Amino acid sequence: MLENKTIFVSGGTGYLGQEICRLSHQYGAKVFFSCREINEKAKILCDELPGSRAVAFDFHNVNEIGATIEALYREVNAIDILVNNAAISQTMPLALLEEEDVDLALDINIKGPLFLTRAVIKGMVRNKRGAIINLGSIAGQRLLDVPVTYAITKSAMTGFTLALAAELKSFGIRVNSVVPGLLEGGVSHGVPDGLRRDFIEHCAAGRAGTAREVAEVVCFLGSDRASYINGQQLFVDGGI
Amino acid sequence: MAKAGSVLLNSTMAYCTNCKNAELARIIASDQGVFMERMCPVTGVQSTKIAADHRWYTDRMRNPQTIARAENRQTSRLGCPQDCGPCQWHSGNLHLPVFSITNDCNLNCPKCFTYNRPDKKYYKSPEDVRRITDHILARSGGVQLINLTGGEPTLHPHLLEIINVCRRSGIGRITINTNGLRIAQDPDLAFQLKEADVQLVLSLDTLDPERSKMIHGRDVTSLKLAALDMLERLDIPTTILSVCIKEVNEEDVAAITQNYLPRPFVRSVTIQNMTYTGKYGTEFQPHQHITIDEVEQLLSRNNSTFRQKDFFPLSSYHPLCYSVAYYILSGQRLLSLTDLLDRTLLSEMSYDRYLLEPSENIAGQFRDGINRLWAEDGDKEYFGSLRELADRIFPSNTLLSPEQRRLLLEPIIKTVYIHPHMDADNFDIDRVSRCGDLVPDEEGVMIPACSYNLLYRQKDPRFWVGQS
Repeated sequence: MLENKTIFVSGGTGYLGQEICRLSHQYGAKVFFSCREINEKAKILCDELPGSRAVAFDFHNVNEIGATIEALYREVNAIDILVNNAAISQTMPLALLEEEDVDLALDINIKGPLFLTRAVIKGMVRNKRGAIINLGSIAGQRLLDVPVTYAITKSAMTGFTLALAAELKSFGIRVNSVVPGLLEGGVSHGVPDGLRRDFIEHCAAGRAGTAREVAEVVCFLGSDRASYINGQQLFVDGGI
Repeated sequence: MAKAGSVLLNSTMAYCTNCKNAELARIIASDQGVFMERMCPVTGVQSTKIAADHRWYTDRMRNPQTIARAENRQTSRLGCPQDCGPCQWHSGNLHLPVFSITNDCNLNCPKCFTYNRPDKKYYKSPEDVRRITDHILARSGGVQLINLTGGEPTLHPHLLEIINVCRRSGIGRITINTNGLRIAQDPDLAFQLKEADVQLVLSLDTLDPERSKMIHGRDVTSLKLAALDMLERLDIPTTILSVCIKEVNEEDVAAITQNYLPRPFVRSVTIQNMTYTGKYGTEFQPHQHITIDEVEQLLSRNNSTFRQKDFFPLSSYHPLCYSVAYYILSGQRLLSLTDLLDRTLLSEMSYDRYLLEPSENIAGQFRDGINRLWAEDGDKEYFGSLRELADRIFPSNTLLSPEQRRLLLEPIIKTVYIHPHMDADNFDIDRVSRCGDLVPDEEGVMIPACSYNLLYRQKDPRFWVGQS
């Protein structure tokens, strides 16, 4: 499904990011992924996925993001698929929230994806093709006990997706968003038992989702099979 | 006998050690406090203070307790407390198994509430401890902690082997009582206990030489300080156990709690209200009971760290058996959990257990508590500390497991327990029939600790043979 395509996944060593890397590799893509540092996890993943490569950059540093992607474009002609997956979540009551916390969440969850996208679409615009998938979250879509900064930034992925899809429509670049529900791992790891039970009770599937199930949708949206899907939010939540 | 104008608050069943009978007792409030009064045909009316303030008493007695399962328990024949095992009428589950592994002791404390025959030393074998732990697991399905006591447990020649026997699935923290004398003098032993990953319960009643003589029979203050130093240097998790004796060491206990609870190696302070049982304790003078609320007031009087409103009852015990306060350590300051969480909720979190365990909605309750305190212009330093705490247990760049969070929290969550045992003066069958501190033996019999101390231990030839 992804033969001859190059995919770039931000936050490739996380619970969901790893699975997106694995599955896209399985579907034939050449995989690049970003992480904060080239740590043991990143090395293991590279060994597991022959031909894949990890690049490290600091999401706070817009210049570093730009320079890293520019360097990558000197090696590859095209990045066909960009997955904006990297994000942080911080449990913090409003009373304890400092300006720096909000800045951090905005930097990593909004500014980072925005400037990574800007760097990556340079090649996509030149090539007049590309697919961008932004990872949202049910945390930004429903009334849930979740950290406010996480909800704000995940909710922002909706507007980001729509505006980006409009702006890039002339260049054959599709932009969609995937909105996972409760997953078995990743940020869902810290979800209190009560909320987890409540979610499962109201989920048609009757269980938490897996990273694989979300990765399947991401790969599909990145493939040419999704050529007529643009500016959409796809909920992968088992049916709430 | 209660004066006219006194108020009858409640009634309960007492047990008379003279007549060997259960008898009706009245709980009476007067301007002097709350008293348990009972009529013994032999010795007449007995009156013992059980609370200083009737409002405190009535508030605590509203605390509900759920009846525990009564499976596999023996039939009650003679009635409580003479059928201990526990019998089918016992309404508490096993929460804290506590048993003596030796009668050997290197002190002869006048305050001691137990019986230890000095003529024949007894050391429980690791095999017997194995049998006891089998019974503990069979009855409880698992306990948060276990307590090995004595005598002086560190005199047991096979202590480390016993610790290994206790370390099994279903048994949480292993705690060992000690007077600290050997630990003060034997660094190798201290190091071995550190390696064995146990929590020590160090007896510390005073640091005043004169009062030490009165309480311990000789001045052991320098040894106690050396033991504290050793525990602190090795960072061995420690509970400090202070016996609080009215008109003897009340101020010492308050100072010990204040000074030692913030130390990183100290996890908790347990204050045991002096109980007049045992070979020496029965005769100890002055003979005056100090009540839970008097200890709460004592702690709150001398500084602003502890407040009476910080304390709440453990819901798995009778309200007169335990009063507990939880604190978050922030630098040298202790911040009460009751500033964030309702005392009723905290009490509920102790349901059917000894140690508090977070309820499912605890994160939401914490968040609500923090936001409420903030809206009420709460202490700014408090918020700084809470922020540090939140950063530690909910870091933005790492996902921690509940176990990792628990380990991070352990050194900074501090507890004060106020825990009066009972003696012949105030023995209350209602209290003992709910007790979760049970003394297990090799045959699977489990006796509530206060029944054991007052009525059963001296029947066990390993500990007593009726010497004068």
